[in-house]
Parts: sequence; C-alpha cells; structure tokens
Amino acid sequence: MEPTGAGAGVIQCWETLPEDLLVTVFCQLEIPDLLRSGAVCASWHAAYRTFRRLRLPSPKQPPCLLYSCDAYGPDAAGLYCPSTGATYRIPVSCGGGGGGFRNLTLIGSADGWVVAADEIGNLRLLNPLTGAHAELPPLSTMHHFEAAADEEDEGGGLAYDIVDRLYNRPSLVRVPAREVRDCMYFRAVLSCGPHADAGGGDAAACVVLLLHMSRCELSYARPGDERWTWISPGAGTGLRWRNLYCDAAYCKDDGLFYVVRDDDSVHALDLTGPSPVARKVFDERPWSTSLPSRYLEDVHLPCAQPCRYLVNTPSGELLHVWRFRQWVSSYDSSSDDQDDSSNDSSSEDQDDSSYDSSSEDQDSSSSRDLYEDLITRDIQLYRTDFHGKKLDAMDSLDNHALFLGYNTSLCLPTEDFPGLKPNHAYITDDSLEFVNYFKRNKKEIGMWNIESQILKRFGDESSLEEPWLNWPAPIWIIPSLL
Amino acid sequence: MAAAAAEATTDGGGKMIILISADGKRFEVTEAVASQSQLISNMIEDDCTENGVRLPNVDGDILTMVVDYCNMHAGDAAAAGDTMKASSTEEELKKFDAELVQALENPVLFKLILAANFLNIKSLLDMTCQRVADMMSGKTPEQMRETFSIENDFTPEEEAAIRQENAWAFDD
Repeated sequence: MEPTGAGAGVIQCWETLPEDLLVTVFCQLEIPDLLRSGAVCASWHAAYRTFRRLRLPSPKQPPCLLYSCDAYGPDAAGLYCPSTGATYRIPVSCGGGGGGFRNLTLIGSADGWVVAADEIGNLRLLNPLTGAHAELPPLSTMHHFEAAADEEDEGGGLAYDIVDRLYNRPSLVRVPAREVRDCMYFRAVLSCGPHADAGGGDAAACVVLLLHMSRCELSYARPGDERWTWISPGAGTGLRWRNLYCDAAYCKDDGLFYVVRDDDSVHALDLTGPSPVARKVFDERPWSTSLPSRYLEDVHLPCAQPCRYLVNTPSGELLHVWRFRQWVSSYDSSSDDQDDSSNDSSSEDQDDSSYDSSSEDQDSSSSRDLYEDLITRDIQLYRTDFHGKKLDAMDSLDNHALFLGYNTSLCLPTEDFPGLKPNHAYITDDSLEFVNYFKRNKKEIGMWNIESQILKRFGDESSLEEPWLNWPAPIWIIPSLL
Repeated sequence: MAAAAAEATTDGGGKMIILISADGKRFEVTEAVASQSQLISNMIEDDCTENGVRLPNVDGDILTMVVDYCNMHAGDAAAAGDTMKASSTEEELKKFDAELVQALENPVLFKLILAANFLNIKSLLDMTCQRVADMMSGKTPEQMRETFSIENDFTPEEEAAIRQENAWAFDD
C-alpha cells in the first residue's frame, strides 16, 4: 500500500503509539468509534483487545434509543444516537428460546442492559450489543403468583393466578401467561448492570427492583436468584399496603433505592441484607393539596396524576419529575366511527389481531388500534429539600439533560456530552396502558425543551422519520460492551 | 528578559530549574512550573535537578509547547485563594487550551502525547488524548487510516473477521 502522508518518519508514528496511551484514547470514544478503531491496523487492534480484556468503561457514550422497526426485521434492533444523529442496525440474539427482539417487552434499562420480558412474561437481563444475558427468577416465584394450568385457554394452557391481598378477602385473578407481560410490569429499576459476571465479586451488586401489579408493589431479585423477593408492606418495612409506587432511583453513593409514591412520599430501601429494610425519608403531601399543573385544567381524569420520576443528579440531589400527559385524538378525517374506535372495549378486541399481524402489515396507520395518542403537555421539576421537608420547583435544568422513559432515569451534564441539548428532557413512552394496549400507536419520542415546554421529535429527514412505530416500545440505553 | 520573567514568577515558585531538550535547547522555569510534571516533581524531591534536567525524549519545539502550557497552568494553584483572579485565569486558560489543542496536528500532536506521558503531566495528557479521540470520532477505519497516515497491515481475511465481529458498527 502506498503511504499517503508526507515524509517516512511521520507515516509510521501512530502505529507505534504505546498501547497504554492508545487505551487511554479508546476510553474517550463512543462505542461505534471504538469498534471501528479496532479495525484500523494490527497494533490498534491489539490495544482494542486489551481495552476489552480490561473491561474498561466508555464514559463518553451518551444514551441512545433502542427500538424495533419493520425495516430491520424481528431479530434486530435499531440504535439511534440523538447526539450524533447516527442509526445502527444491531442484530439481537435473545437466546433461551425467547424468540427475536420483536417478541420482547422492555421494561427497564441501565448501564447498557435492558430488562426484557419474554412471551410468557419471564424476565431476563440482556445486553443487546454483546448478546450477553443474565437470568432472573421465573415469574411463578413471585410472592403473590402461582403458575396454573388454564384448561379453558386455547393456546397452550399456562396461566398465572395472581392474588390481590389488599382487602380482607383476597381476590384471585387468572391471567393467561401470554398476556401477563402486558398488564404486569410498570417498570424495572436497576442498581447497575450485571457487569461483573466474569469476576464474580460485584455480580451481587446488580439488583433488579420491579414495580408490578397488582398495586404497584415492589419485588426484587439478583441475577441467578432462585426467586423474587416481595417487599411486604406493613409493620416489618413501614411500607403502606396500598403501594402505588411510581418510580425508583438507585443512589450509588449510599447503595439505597429510593421509591416515590403518587403522594410525593419517598422511602429508602436497603436491599443488601437478608431481608429488605425500608425507611421513609420524605413525607407525603397533605391529601387536600392538588397538584399544580400549569396548563391542564381541562384534561381527563387519568392525566390529573402526572407520571412521576425520581432522578439522581450528578451533584447528588434527588429530583422529582412530573410528566403530565393527555389523551389526544389523532383522528383527522370526518369519518363517523370516531366514537366507536375510541371506545375502550373495542381496543382490547383489536389488540391481539393487530399485534399478531404486525410483522406482515407494513402500513402502520391502517392498523392503528385506536386514533388516540398520549401526548406530554407539561414537565415539571422539583428539587427535594430533605431538611425543609418540601419540594422546590425548578425552572431549569441548566446545563443538564434528562432521559425519561422505561430506563432508569438519567440526568447528565451536557458539558460532558456536547451532542446533547442542555435543559432538555429526552423522552419516550412508558405508560403501561398506552404501550401495551395500543401497541401500534404513534410513540412519543423526542426532546422536550424545559424552557419552552415544547417537544421536538427526532428525525427531520424523511428516511429517519419515526422508524420506531413498532413493538416493543423504544427505550433509552447507554450502549455498553460490559 | 529571562531575568525579568524569572523575577515575576519567583515569588510563588521559588527556585529556578533548567530543562534541557534532546537537541540541547535550555529552558529556565520555576519549580512551581516544572513540578506540574510528576517526573520533575519527583526529581525536585530527590534533589537531583542541580545541573539541569536532561530530557532526551523531548525535542526543543515540543518542550517549548510543554513549557508554555506549564507556565499558563502554574497559576492554577497560586491563584486559588484569590477568586477574582482565579475566575479570569480560568477563562484565559480555557481559551489557551482550546487554541493549543485546535492547532495540534500530526506529527506534533503525536510527539506532544509522548512528551506529556514521559513527563507525566496528567492534564496535558488527558487533553491531547481527547484531541486524538475527537479526530477519530465518526470516522470509518479507512478514514482513520487516512487521518493518521496508518497503513492497513491486516490480511483481507483478518480484516473481514474483525469487522464481522461487530458488523453493525461498520454499516455506513
């Protein structure tokens, strides 16, 4: 090959950069750049191998959207990087007979790993970039769950009996296994990825905290555990029976999960010991105080309650983020059957058929379950004042960006990630009802400007425009090779 | 000239130290400036800087840049107590660093990385490594080879196998 540089002394130099320096450079790269730099020449490839062998992190990698689309088929995911605008097609092998990526339901993510439910509702951890996965206990080991054979079910018969113990007489609901993931999981929050599978020591640090039916209860497990541990309400933990937990944040500094209820109250959970310990760290708002929504006097009842997130900031503060959403009809013709199609019962009837046909049906608009969209109208930020026992409203994130959705919520300094817009919240859909019952509906994905309270959707170019219409719902991940 | 410069900085830095480049150029700097290099800082502690510090790995033109960098950044610690001074210095430093790093090209960048590594000046090493990373970002392996004048020394089979491992990152 002809040298292209000027002067022989120069040409050889970068190949001879000592490996430790090259590894230092690799630590500054985003993952796609890292993988490509490993294919430049033999010495760089050796440094790349060292980087992988040392299991070094990629702290400059900003979050990306992991999504599915028709163009990529059922066994691959799309990865869209909002800071560079690049998209990649990632082949995702799900292993264990779970089917392709399209058959998964994604309910959580952290450190490059997603928490995915398979077709019969069992959960596992998966790193879509490396194909690595870690098993979580089967659903039948959850406290209020029993596997059952459903003779009336035509499709195989596996079902779960879910016991609701809220009232004196426990009620029992039988759910076919293939439907359980659509109604079971609100979200999963991780302490960290199960990185240390090779080294052993840190593997126990990975805890999956599940917020689940029937009343936003809490259970947790570590990869490889035999069963899910239910965090029982009552005297033992101080948790209320009517749980209604909305989100959780894991604080790496103190090793505690913080869970927030829909009344603002926050409990700290220590899940490191033999049994879970809960402690209330922030009191509930007096019941008579209504939520100060700025724009939403006219919304339907479900939106009077915002979707809540708890977010750790880099400076160690705990943010309450309230996201107010509104159901909006997207039906824009003068057709008569608008009222029928926005009826709840018809949506559930349609649901199965439209989902099953999703792979063949390329025209998403024709298979819309309902002409309804769930639109964000208002995002509010509150700083937790633990000493003053109050929430302080914030006008701005300043030079930070939020990532909200099924992912473990993120607050990142935009100084470290120049491609991200300061004072913006990067959002995806994470409403259990909307995501699971209106699978083919338009997903709300974009950058919410905190100052102007306006959403800018991604993908201005026609080729990029909303390729993520399909199931499963897109999720933010920070791509990782660990 | 040199005496005036020495006088201006002596109050904070104390003793002067002579650095000698590979091609014999001599640089007189204060201890405070020189000890940003962990290598020289260790030598100062061990009291072996009396006859000047010979740096056989560092050319004069590169050492000029290193000394400029260290002179600019020597104010960091000294000005820490004075907030007004510190903030203006911080502005200046950012500007200086940005200009320095932007101007870096092959092969000066390469030599400066090696010098920062040899002299063990962490902030300069971080900055130069970041510059290399920035030059790599968004590029294909072919474009990286072009940028850094690197010859592709893989066999076609080796290269295909490496690309195949993470084929998704090579889709353009």
